[in-house]
Amino acid sequence: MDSSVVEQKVAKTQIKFRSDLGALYGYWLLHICLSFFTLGIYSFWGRTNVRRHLAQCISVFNERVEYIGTGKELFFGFLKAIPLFILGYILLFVLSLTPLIALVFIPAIYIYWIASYGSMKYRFSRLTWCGIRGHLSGSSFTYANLSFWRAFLDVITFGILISHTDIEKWRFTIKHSAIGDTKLKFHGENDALFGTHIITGILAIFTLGISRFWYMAALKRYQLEHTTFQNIQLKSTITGGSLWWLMTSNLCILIFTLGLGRPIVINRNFRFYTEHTHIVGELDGSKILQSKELPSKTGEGLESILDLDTGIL
Amino acid sequence: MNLGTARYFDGKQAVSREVTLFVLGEKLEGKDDSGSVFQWPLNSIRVKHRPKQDESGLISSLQYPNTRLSLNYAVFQKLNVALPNNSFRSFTSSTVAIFSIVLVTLLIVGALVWSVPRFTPSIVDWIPDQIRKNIGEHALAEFELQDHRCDHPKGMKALNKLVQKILPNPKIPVSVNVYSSVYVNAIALPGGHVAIFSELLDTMKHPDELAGVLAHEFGHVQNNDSLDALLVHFGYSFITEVILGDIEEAELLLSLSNHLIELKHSREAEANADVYGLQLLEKANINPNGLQTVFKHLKTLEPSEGDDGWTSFLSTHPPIDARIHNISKESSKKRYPAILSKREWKDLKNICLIHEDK
Repeated sequence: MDSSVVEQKVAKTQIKFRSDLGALYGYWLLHICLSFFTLGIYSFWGRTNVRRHLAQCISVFNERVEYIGTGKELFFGFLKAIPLFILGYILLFVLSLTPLIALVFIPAIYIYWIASYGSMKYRFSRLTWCGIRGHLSGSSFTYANLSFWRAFLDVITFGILISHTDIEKWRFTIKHSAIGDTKLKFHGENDALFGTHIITGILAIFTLGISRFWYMAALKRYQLEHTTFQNIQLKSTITGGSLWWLMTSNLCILIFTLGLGRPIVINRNFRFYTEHTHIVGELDGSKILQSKELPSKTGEGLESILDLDTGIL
Repeated sequence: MNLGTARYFDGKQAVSREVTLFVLGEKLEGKDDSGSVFQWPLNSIRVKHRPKQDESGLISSLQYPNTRLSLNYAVFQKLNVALPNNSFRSFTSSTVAIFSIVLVTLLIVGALVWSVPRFTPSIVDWIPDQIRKNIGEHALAEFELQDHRCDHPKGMKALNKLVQKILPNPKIPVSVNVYSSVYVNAIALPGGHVAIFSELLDTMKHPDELAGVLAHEFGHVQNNDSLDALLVHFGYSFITEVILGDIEEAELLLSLSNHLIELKHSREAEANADVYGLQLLEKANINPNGLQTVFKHLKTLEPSEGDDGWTSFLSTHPPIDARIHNISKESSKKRYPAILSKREWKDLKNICLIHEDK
């Protein structure tokens, strides 16, 4: 008898995170120690194990999320990115000896955006749910162009358009995101958070920046609540206060454990975001088909060299 | 053998179907009311998530990478008995993999440690003079020295006379200047720049001492030590950044190891500069004991500098006692002519006076 596990779900089904801090510590410590003794070679496998563990702790509609990336893919992605990095490193070194040093930042930031979107594409394509792969299309260069243009607008408007930029970049990412062949959609407006941005920006002067946590929370709520997939909608209960507490306490944990508390911080972040994200609506799993587009064969390269951490996984 | 029921994902749709699992020979078969749904070779089965008593697990087949089976603990236990000795196989293969990685790593470490300091002198030779000068000037600017240059004409005349006497035909042209600074030090920078700090000059009682220091620094210049050190540091930093870019803890440990290697390199360069300096002094007929006197004085300022105990590996320079000993081996009871007149030495000692008046 055929039975769809994801059909006709009760509204507001929560995304669940079954934490296993002990196991996470095990993978993380192995990652750090073996990466040191193997001069970083193991890090590709270590990082994969950590991601795999974290992904399988998450379940959506009671089905586990799975990370299917491999250390080999990351390693080859890294090898592919080395020539570009060497070129950039030499360029940086030579330019740093000349008055043209200021020009270095333009390609550096551009490469940062390319790397971060490339990394998101790789990670999303390695996440599966019910055997169906995630998919993030769109060119990394187009994303970098958009980011560059938005950053330019932010600068010339003294940051007034930052909230527009945040939503526009989210729109780009969601527009190119899909689970299998089914795309995600974003229905938000760019100017929706303009007031919150301005008010929290002004208050930031008197609150030493703490008010910005309320903007960040509002942004995350807006982004999620205006994102739909089939007939389901996401809801977020993140508040400025809870976000402030999460980040402040995480910082304290890292400081007082001299960095050894990083798995605790990762665990807390996952728990926080999954507990504050809800799914409303019904999902017809039979209409979500595997994408015909094949994922890339190698993993993020530039991102790991440039020391970026762009995704939740 | 009937194992029980599980949920099968075919990797085409995000839906599962309930199947009954059977082990038939070397295959795991899933059947539903309509018949056989899938057949997986047992040796292709991999555990994605091991089930627990209260939590279902996930297995897959290497032959059908998008398919999944979600099964409970009891079914998994039955299946596990039928599976080939997967856990033992994976243990041996992962052990071999780890040993291979460690072996390859040791080879890479050896190659890197060996190659970086050895290749840098060749790279240094390729760097055009103008870039060397730019680097040196950049360094002077970084140290914020350019506005503190002492340029009393009489003092400069005496300094140039001394430089000319020590190094009449330099392979690399030098530019020697005294800078007003509280540091008791002298440094050689790329592009032939040599900076003597006024505080060091103030401690000197005889021109031979300054000649000794200059001869040592000229050794660094002629051996391209500062550029060499810069490139060694650049090389190690690059390697550290590339391979451990996002693991801060491991990066810190590797940076410390690199730093220790750089220190060893630096101590070797200092010892070579001492030898080169002594040869210069000998050739110029200048008393080498001047340098010895400077070292003795430095030792009184920083007693720990003379330590050649277990902490000496943390030093950028060889132990002072050893350096004093090496110079005394070279020195003789020969009488040397004066290199500067008393008047010239006084002018040189006062080279910063006008600057300070400003």
